[in-house]
Amino acid sequence: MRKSQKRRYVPFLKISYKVRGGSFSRLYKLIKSERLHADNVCEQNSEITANIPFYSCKRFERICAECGCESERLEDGDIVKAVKWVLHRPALFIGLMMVLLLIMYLKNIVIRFDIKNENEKIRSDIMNVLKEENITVGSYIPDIVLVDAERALKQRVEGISWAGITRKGNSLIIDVIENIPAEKGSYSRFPSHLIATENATVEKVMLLDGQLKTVIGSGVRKGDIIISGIVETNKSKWVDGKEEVESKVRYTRSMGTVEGTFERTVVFEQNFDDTVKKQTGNVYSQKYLRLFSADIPLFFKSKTGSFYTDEEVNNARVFGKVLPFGIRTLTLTEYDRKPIRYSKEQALDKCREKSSKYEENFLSEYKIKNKTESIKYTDKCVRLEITYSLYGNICEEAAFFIKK
Amino acid sequence: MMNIKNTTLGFVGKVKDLAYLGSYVTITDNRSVLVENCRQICECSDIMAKVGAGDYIVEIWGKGLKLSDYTQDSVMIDGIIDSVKLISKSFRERRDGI
Repeated sequence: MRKSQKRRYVPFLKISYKVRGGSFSRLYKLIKSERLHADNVCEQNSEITANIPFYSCKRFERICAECGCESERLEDGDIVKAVKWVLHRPALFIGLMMVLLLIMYLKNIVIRFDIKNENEKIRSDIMNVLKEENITVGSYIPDIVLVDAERALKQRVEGISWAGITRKGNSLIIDVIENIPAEKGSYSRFPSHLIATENATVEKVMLLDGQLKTVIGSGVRKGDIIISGIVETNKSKWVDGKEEVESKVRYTRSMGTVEGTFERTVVFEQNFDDTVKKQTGNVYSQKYLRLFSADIPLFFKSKTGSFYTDEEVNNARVFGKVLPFGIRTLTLTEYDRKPIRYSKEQALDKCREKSSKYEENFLSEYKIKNKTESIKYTDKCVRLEITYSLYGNICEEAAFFIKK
Repeated sequence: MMNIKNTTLGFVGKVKDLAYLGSYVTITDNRSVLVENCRQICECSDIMAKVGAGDYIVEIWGKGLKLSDYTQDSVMIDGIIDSVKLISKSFRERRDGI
């Protein structure tokens, strides 16, 4: 007979026993009374073979001893064998346990945030709020109260009306609905005045609709009505030697342009003692292993100091498809704040730089007719006061409601 | 003349049925025999298994017989079954050949 035919099949979690000697009928009785799940029981040549579940082995051996039988283990089931094999190799066992624990741990920590919104500002706001709520990459998911986090997002992130967080594996998926801007009321059919925005002298008027309340060459104060939307017309006729005046009021939306000259005084100041950012020339590079949203540092000590940062992310690719892991490189250019002392001329130049920036940013829509400078030096700073004489539009639309 | 008595028609037979005290033997092809209400295993060798169930001893003959699922009150005998024989535990019945 071949060896394979002789081999007795032992199920995974069972152990095969051979029992000899003693009272078999008593053994059967005890197996029943102890509720042992014995399988493949066969009596042959004054021996009993049986498969007993591994967790009942001790009880079976005790029963055999009670019946005066001698029990012998023949073979273990495959799982029992595997467990014994692993237990005899402690390093492997510990490694397996560690891997299992690591898997369990990784299954329960946040690895990735998936924000379903393309707006960069909203995305960064959401991440900041979550950070304030102690929800970051590596947070233990069962400890996160998603309802509280959702409430915090709804309350603190500007520009969203609703937020929902769902967990999918070890990712947190954040759905947001942006605010739907309310449709702006159209005032085009409302009557309106054109009012002065500056204390100015009116030099040019182009009236399309409305009633002019001033004349060219006269001065207006800020807020004065230049073109009124209330148009009054008087019609007089003589009836029986008496004048009858018929007046009509019409409301309209004033239209036109009013240009004039006005003055604006701006003061620019520069301290003699100041601090400036100066690059030290040191450039460092820090690399991170990016795994979904997690950045795992590939260095031991992070740099301290003040840096200009430049980020570069290189994700792995397979057949042109970007995978969710890669290397993030931060290039840190170190700078230092250094005290500097300006001379009077240098400080004045700084003031002029500021004034030119101001003109560029705020006075580009006006024509600068004239500017007068007055320079004052104190112990600490230089003060440049410039009075601009500007020419340009001096009115804006102001709607009004008709009293009924 | 042989005195044949149908026990299932009598009071005792009805009570046995209701109290589930009979011998219930289920044979599946020649592969297995399930004996319910099994009280005792008398013997289980390669060719013969003998179990007590109700008022009878069930004797199963065959090849490569194995006893399994011996839990609660039932037992399964697997193997190649040749015959199943019921032997009454009652001496009177055995003597009278009923």
